[in-house]
Amino acid sequence: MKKNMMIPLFLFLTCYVLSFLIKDTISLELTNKNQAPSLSHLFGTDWLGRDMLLRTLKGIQLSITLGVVTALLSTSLGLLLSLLAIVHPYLDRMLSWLIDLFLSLPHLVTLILISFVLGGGFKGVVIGLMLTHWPAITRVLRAELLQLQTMPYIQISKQQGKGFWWRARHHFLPHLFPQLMVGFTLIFPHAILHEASITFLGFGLAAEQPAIGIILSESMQYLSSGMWWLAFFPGVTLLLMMLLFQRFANAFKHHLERDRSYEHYFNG
Amino acid sequence: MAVAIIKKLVRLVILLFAVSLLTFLLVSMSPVDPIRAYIGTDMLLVSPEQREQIEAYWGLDQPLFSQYVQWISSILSGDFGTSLIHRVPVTEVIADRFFSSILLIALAWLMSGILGIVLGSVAAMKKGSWLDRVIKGYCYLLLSTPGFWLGLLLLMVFSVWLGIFPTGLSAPIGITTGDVTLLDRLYHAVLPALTLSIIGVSNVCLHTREKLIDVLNTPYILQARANGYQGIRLFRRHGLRNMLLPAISVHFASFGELFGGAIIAEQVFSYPGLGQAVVDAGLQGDMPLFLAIVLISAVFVFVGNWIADILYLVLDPRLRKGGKSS
Amino acid sequence: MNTILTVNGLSVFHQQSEHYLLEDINFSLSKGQVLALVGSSGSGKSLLAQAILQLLPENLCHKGEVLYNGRQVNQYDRGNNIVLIPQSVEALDPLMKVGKQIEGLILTEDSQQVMLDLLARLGLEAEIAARYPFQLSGGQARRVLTAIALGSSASIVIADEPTPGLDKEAKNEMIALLKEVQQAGKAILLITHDFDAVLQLADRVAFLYQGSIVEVTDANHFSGDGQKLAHPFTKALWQSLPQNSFIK
Repeated sequence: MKKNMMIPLFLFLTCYVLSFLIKDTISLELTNKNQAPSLSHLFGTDWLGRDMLLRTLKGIQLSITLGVVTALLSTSLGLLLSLLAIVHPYLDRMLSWLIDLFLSLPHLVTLILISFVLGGGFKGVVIGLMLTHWPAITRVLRAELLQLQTMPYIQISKQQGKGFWWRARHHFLPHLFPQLMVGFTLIFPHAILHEASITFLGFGLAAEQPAIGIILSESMQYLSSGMWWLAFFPGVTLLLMMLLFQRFANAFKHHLERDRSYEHYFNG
Repeated sequence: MAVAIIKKLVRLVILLFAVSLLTFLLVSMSPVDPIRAYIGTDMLLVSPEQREQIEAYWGLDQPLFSQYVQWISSILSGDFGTSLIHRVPVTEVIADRFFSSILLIALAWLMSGILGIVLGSVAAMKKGSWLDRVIKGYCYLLLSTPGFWLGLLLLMVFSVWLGIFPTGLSAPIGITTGDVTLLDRLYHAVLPALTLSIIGVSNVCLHTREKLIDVLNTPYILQARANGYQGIRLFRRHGLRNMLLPAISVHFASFGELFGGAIIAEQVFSYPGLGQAVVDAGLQGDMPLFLAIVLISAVFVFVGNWIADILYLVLDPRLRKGGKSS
Repeated sequence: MNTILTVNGLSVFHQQSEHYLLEDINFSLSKGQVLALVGSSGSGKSLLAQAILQLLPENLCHKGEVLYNGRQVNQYDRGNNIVLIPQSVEALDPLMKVGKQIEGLILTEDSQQVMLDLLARLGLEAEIAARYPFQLSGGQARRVLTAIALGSSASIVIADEPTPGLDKEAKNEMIALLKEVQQAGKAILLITHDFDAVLQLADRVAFLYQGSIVEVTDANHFSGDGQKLAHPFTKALWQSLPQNSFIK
């Protein structure tokens, strides 16, 4: 079980770390432009002679960084808001309404809207992704917290005069930790795919950034001239990385659930 | 029941107003200058006095809230303003594209729904078998696939290499709109719809599978098995009945994702629908068009969620007849 | 005696851990007879019912044989020759009308008429057939569940905990219904931990203790301080009943 979890994670992290070894500027070799994949350029080269393998790895690196930042921010926001929800029923109603509000637009439209307002770029994309991804996890955390609050041991703490933050630190956080981890692993790939989409549409990262979305939207102009490798390999690489992560996430979730099921078993 | 349906409707209408207000405020705060977007490169020729005149004409000199009230009341009377990039009323820009998008989305919704429910049912009935593993693997693969990249692949294979389908647009070039047949439109919608449905299958398939597995673990299924029902007969008698409503409901609730997918598919296949229009409007700062399509997308999600909710009220006997006896 | 159900050396175990949940179960059931299978919860009673019907959960295996009229029980016996009276209304499909669920087990052509006759015989109005399970009262639900057993052509009825947590009146009603089933000429395997029901219905009683049958005895051996009972567990169980005032 541990093996199922660690091997994909290890491979995933290795790719990420290796991509930092690549120089930030990929050399232009105009004599080698538009090369189909070969041994010297596994993914081929583009119209400026840049090696597509290097560009792809750079793009993946950017995607992962962005995904981690976004997933961290979304889970933190979700945690904060769901904690606020149990302070007072009034706040809870407001939060539920806010969740409904954010879910009432398609994700991609919200993303376009936010990027439109903030003018795109790394900051715009991160804020947009955070604002589209917090409702899902907040919903889960809120439901969990509301249930947790009725537990006898929480009530006892309350009667003993323990403050809200004490309860949050000693009761809520340890209990929510697995949910937060699972939420993180669910948001992370989702955010990456959304970032690629929004960048592809032209609202996300700027054209000079080495993002997968940029690479793929550029490749569209060259498809009809048969330069399939420009679109194929970057997409496959992104897909493979996502699959690796998903394998890890599934095994991880399974691992947590298994532990929990034992808990239930021993508690009768 | 009627009360519950209307209650939901009212709640959703209020939400829609909130969305419109929020969107309007956000868009007004954006750095995009609507006057510059309208005038374009001739901006240098416009004097500050002229600019002020235009602002006054558009009501841009008034406070934000009264601008909003003006905007929303004209929308309620059917006037969405004039598109800055197309220079025609927004309703005109939207009308034709709306049909194209709905065609695309409806095709994709049906295809992915039918395929998803069939695959999900097969996987659940054969849980643990190689067939189940293949179907599950396919779904997880799709969940990791960027939709636009899949569109690019289909475009490369079917349009560029095989030349079976057109590379873009919703109708053949050089034919006036009156001459475009429904068949033409369908032909042009096939590839984008295919992209959308291939991606959309995974969600409904995984949901169907999970729901049916839940159903198969209930006491009434054990009883039905003890009564001699199994395989396809068991599925038809008890499985389908108990799984279908949640599955269809989930599929209705996925309208939002479908709309997002349509934006991407339309962009990849240069299919002139609402999605392409919202991207153009956003990139070029065409606020009236942009706001209108954002609102339409909200209505779209709203309708999907509403149907998903009332399906239970209308179809599930426990809710339909609830309170009457028991 | 014509034996119709024979269980020979039946064991149920976990596929991976080879942990035995039921071990070497032997008993037989004759036509028109009621055999009660008594054991505390967790002793594997319901599992035995599932093993007889060949409906064990995926991760469990069985060995030994279950014979119907001298041949191995197969999947076609379910519903046709052996039928299960479920514990509660949960065993009815919540989205299917009650009448249709009963009809599903009646193999003759005029299944609807037979179903209506059955309802009448059990004292239910015909309009019950058009109701959904959630619209039934507790008593109606129990009758409907019994109607399923009566309607099928099966000669063996397995009643799995038919009287869980019922009040006295409801319990008596259920016992009367089971008597009705018995009088229809069917053999009943009564799985329960309710001694009242056992004493009123059973011809013979088998005791399940930690996955094995420790004693099979005649029902009329339960008298006095239980001197006719062989196994210490059975004896202790009998003596611990309140009406026997906890004989030491």
